[in-house]
Amino acid sequence: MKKILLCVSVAMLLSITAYATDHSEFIEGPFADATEVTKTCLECHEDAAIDFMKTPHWTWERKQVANGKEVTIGKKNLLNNYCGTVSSNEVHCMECHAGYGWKDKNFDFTDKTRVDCLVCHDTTGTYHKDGDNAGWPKEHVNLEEVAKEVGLPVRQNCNSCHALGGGGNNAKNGDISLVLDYPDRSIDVHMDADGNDFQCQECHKTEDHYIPGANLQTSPDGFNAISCEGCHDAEPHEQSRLNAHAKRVACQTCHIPVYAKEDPTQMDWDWSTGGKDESPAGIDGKIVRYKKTVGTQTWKADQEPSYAWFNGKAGIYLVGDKIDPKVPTPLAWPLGDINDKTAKIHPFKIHTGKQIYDTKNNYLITNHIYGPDAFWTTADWALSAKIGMETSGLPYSGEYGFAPTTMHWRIDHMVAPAEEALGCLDCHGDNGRMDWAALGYKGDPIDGK
Amino acid sequence: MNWKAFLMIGLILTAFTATSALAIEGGNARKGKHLFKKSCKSCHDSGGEGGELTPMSKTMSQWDRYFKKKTDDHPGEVFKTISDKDKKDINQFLHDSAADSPAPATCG
Repeated sequence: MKKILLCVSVAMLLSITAYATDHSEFIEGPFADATEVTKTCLECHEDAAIDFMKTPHWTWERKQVANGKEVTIGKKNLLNNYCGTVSSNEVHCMECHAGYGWKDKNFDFTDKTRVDCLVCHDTTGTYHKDGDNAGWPKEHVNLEEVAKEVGLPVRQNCNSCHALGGGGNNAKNGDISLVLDYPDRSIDVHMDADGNDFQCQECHKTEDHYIPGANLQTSPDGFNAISCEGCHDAEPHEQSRLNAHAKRVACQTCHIPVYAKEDPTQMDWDWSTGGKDESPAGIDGKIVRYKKTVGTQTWKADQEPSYAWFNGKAGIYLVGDKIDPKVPTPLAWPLGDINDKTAKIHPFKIHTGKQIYDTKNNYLITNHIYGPDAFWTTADWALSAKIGMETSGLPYSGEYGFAPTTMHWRIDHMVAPAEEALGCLDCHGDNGRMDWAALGYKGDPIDGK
Repeated sequence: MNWKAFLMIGLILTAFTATSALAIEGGNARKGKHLFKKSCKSCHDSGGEGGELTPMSKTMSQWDRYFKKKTDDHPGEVFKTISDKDKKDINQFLHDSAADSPAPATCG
């Protein structure tokens, strides 16, 4: 309880500080372009860019151990279940980079003026970046007006990328959608706009522009992951039986019974149907959608999570890893099992897909999807595969097919009110949601199995 | 091309320019969505005393004209408590999600 009070007190103090700093007194435009705004910010916030440029929000990579070996990985060079890879598609993907002008491998990561302060600090809601100009703001943005109104980030800032990345609202995470801009209590008890109104940095406690958090794929080492114990006690329940559960069951498992509240999330992306003028059968335009440029996508709301043991670390697919195209290739998956005493049963979204792969070399293709010579323009798989592989430097046989893939996503947000948390029978009833056999039990453990 | 054609083109360009100049900008549409649901839907929901309203109930210019004119005569008590900044955000949301907008929306 003391920790919670401390959190709230700090939040209030930070809020007061934010409101107290009226930047309109210091900022004077007009600005020729967005880098001029950054230069103005750095006149007072001298170390801000230096600090920020050390973080993965800028580098999109981090040295860490994954799959037992030391690698430097991140969004920059991994292959995911959505648009595939950043490589050769930078002009589009950098809509979500907190920088200006990363259009190819020649981007200067040491240029402080390329740091985009506004995307995180805009309080007007009028600052927008586009998916067609390497992270520069849209032309209509009034840079002076936005710069004069900067403040501490709110959920809307973070959501601009973390909710919209991957091809639409809530496409990726499942538990981070635009509904978290201003949620009510039933959506999330912590972020309830009329209640606690926690901003993201309440839990993702930020220091020197470093924002902690561990996405399963980009942080498979689990470095700086957020834990409920940051505010709550390890034994928070009045009932000892529930506290005993907390030793092997993550808080999220009981307290996030459903994800994708209000806004549907993408559950499947089948690229293999892309490029055809006629949509395949079974398209209803709502749950199952088709576009020639992207293939078939399935979107669903109010999803019951999948459950798996999770010790905080993950396995990931690295570009060039061999696959068996007859079985689904996991691109990110939780580590841990019933015998791992550091693991807990944790909720996940499992996104499935079909992706282009090299049928002779048996690995996934780093596809070129954005640009005048790319798939979204040409609908030519052979050409886009060739260009994409040339850019990433991976040998390409020239033969391609489509293989099934999966990707796990942690479910950590959309925490329900306590009265809506899972009850005993939700897991231990006749139709309980746990697949005990898949978790390594012989039967329901309540029966001593 | 005769003078009638020139006149017609001129009228169209004038109308387009006037419409563009009037369009709301600078509001926070995402916050406006929240405010619309929270403040407006209490009366303007299905069966509500104000009659149901969604962003698609009007066109972009209709929404803009409503918020541009003097709105003090709005009968709802809640509306009178909404600040000018919040009204601008609501206007931006309704404009951006109006019936003739690129992304019409029934939500709210």
